Amino acid sequence: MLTRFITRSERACEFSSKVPSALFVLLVGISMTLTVVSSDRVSAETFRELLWGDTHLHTAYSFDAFLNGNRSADPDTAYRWAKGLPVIHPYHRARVRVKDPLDFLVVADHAEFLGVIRTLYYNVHDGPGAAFAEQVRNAFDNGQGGAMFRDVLPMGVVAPGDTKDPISDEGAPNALPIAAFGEQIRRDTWAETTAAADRHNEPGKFTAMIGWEWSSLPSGANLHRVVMTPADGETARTFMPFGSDESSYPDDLWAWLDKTTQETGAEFVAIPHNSNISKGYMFGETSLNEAPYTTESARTRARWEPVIEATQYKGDSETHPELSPEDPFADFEAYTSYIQQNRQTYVANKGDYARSALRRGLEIEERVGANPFKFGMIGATDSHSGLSAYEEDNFWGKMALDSTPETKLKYGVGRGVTGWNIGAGGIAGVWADENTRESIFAAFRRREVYATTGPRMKVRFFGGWDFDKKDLGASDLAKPGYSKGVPMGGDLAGRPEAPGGLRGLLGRAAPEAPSFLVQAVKAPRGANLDRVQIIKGWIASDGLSRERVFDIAWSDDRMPGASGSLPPVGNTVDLETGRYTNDIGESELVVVWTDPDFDASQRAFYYVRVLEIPTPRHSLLDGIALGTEPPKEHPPTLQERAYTSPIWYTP
Amino acid sequence: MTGLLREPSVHFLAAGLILFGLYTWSSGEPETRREDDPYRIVLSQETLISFIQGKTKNSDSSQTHRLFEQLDGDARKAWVDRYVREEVLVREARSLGLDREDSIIRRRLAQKIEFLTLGLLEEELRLDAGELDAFYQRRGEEYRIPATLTFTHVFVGNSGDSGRIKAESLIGNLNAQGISFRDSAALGDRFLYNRNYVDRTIEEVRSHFGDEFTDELEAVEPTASTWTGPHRSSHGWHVVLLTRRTTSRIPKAEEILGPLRDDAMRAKRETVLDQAIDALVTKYQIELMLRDVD
Repeated sequence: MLTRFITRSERACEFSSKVPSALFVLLVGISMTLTVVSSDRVSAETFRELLWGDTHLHTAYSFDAFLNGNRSADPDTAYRWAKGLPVIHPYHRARVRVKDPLDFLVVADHAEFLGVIRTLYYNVHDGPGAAFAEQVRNAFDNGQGGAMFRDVLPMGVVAPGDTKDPISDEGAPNALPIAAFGEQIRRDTWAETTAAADRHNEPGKFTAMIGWEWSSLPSGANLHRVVMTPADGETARTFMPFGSDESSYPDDLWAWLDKTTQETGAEFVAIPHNSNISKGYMFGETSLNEAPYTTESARTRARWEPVIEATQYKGDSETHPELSPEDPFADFEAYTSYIQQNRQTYVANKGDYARSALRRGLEIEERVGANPFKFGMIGATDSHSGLSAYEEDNFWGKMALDSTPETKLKYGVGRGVTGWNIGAGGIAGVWADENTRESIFAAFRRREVYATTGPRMKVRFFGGWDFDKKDLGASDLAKPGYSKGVPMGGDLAGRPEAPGGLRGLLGRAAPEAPSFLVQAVKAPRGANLDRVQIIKGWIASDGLSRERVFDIAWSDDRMPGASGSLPPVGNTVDLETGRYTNDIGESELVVVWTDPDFDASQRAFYYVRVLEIPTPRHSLLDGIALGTEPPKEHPPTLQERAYTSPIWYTP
Repeated sequence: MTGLLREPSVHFLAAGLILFGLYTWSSGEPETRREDDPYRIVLSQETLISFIQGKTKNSDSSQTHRLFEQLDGDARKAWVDRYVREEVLVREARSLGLDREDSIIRRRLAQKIEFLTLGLLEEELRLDAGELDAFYQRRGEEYRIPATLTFTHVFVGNSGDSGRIKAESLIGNLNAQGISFRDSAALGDRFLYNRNYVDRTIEEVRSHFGDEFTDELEAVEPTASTWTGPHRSSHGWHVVLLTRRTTSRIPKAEEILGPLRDDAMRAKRETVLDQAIDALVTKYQIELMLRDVD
């Protein structure tokens, strides 16, 4: 048994110098016993395993995917790509393959017009839909699919920052085309897509979770949600996916989810995305119909929406420079084009971004006793090509049309964007007990999930009252993490009167502030890490929220400057070749951090942001391939990042 | 709606081909249209409503019907004029033969026939066991399962000589005490990635440990309890207990029946369509007017 301590001897000595030696022997005895007990587990990993997936993938069954060039990539193609098999690209027809396969995938086609455009194009030559089918084919074959897509977009009537109900505006073409037409096609497509999920679901190996997108877009305010369920196809086929043609109010979606859960036993979560282009409505001060939040309505929202998509192809929604002026990393992959026919100048609103929404949630909770915005964060792609392509150097466009360097330039003409405004990424990290529908769904429910902008950085984040530096000596940080604290997504309530565990037995003083155990590891095939940060938001004594960013661990022994800010990590990207090196940065950063400004009477949230060293953006690689200057839409290099779900403190 | 594909009427086929293919308003009534007279336009209410529906991009025909009922005389006349104008232009274009040479129209006609042909061939689109097996024999390689390793490791974070020495002494202790796979969970330094690797692909192991380590492991024989090493990775030294190795293999047909059947069906659909089109081609006599290549 002695070998157990061979590599820990130095730390053990350090420990023993502070504790009477007899007690040390006792502690060793206890910890040995505990070790033996815990090592009896037989699973692959002793603790929850990290799974990677995409909850937001469109196939040719989505009307907009089809109109923008995806005629062939169906759910089967999507699952094959996710599982690492070679597939044919729907636009340029080359063989493509993901480098690191996913552990799970949600095919989330738009509920509205589900499969209708595709079926019309291929199959309908007679009957009531024929004229419309003809129009679809005309548009498509003349290269006007994109224009037709634009034509069905709403007119933006409300302006960013408005607070009136954007749906009540009579007369404005405020919704996507209604689905009354083609109901049987939708039904058939739903049957196909749910059957494909069951066919590809392999418990323990690969999870195919059933889902869809509710595409509410009133007056160009993006309120989209992906809905997913751990139910199987047979259960899912007892209902039809709820679309925004039935209602554009989120409250009606939640009511439907509630009713359908009661009727069928299927559980659901709804995952909002692209709050960044919601004109302030996604996380507004009131419900969409202008009703102030009540305890009841805040709880209802938090129940159905435990997680949001904080980053995806159409930009990053963590925060914005105008909302977080003191955060030097706030300007990341901003996307400023509303989904509508007319152009409106972009204005960042508090209701548009995750950080300001987490803050607003605390403020509402202060008033009504419940927090409607108590959400965790994930990344996703929102790819419409059937390919969940999240790797910067293996990115195949948002739509099928913008999948090549040359066609990226033409994409979105008339809407003020090109394929280079689109970011290459977003993926969800999930700490799950096992790779099954039920386990992954449970992880979403408890918000033990996090976002990265593409790279597979491993991030552990635990909050508690008793973490100290010695915990970093554990051979697996999950051990002290789970035994002494709560993981990401969890809650800390009230300050304990005495410390937990042995410190309590020793009669030590109660902790003054919560402490956090953080581990960040570079993506196995990816770039080194620049730094780890904690973002804190809290309610100050004036009843209003504040935010602050703390650098808590960093690479290369940098010293903070006089202002307290850390010098940049540097940049190894060669703009001529698109290569970078891991000569700077660190492969792993671990730290225990205690909040230096803690006030036990103030509500607060804490989440971790991990920054990679700079790497080449897909637009730079395109520029090099085209032999031109790097496209101007975004800087040629970027610092990919991870955002964990927060841990909340409630007095 | 999709049932229509499965009921391709010969009538439709003939009408689609012999008459005007693309521009046949499918909801119209052919017998009242008298399209044999090129200078006579007969416009039925259904055709007009269908036209309006198309132009207004309204997907709901009953709604268009209701809207039409509400139109006053002037508004109806405006729609009629619009229809007539378009119909006249279409007919003029046809009389000039523009529909025959237009690449988009040609492609559309060809596509329609492909779908109709597939519908007619439904009987032949069944897959028997022999065909499935033949497909598997031919294409099984595409379903190859990659090689995997199952191992646990004790990590020494110091990548220098002292780390190697520490790791070497560990091997003796681990083997002497017969430390098993699951008993090793608390040993060693913290490693960046996983402690246990169960049925992980060589590629994934390579991405976590680097080439040198992975190549060495590929040469280690699996055992229940013999620790080997030290093996060097890009992170430090490792003592490894490798308990299982699977070689890359093509799965048995029973293991992949679902995707196999789907793929075989897809392949067959293409073959059957090709054959049907080839059969059509034989009805034609093809005269080549190409200049000889020297």
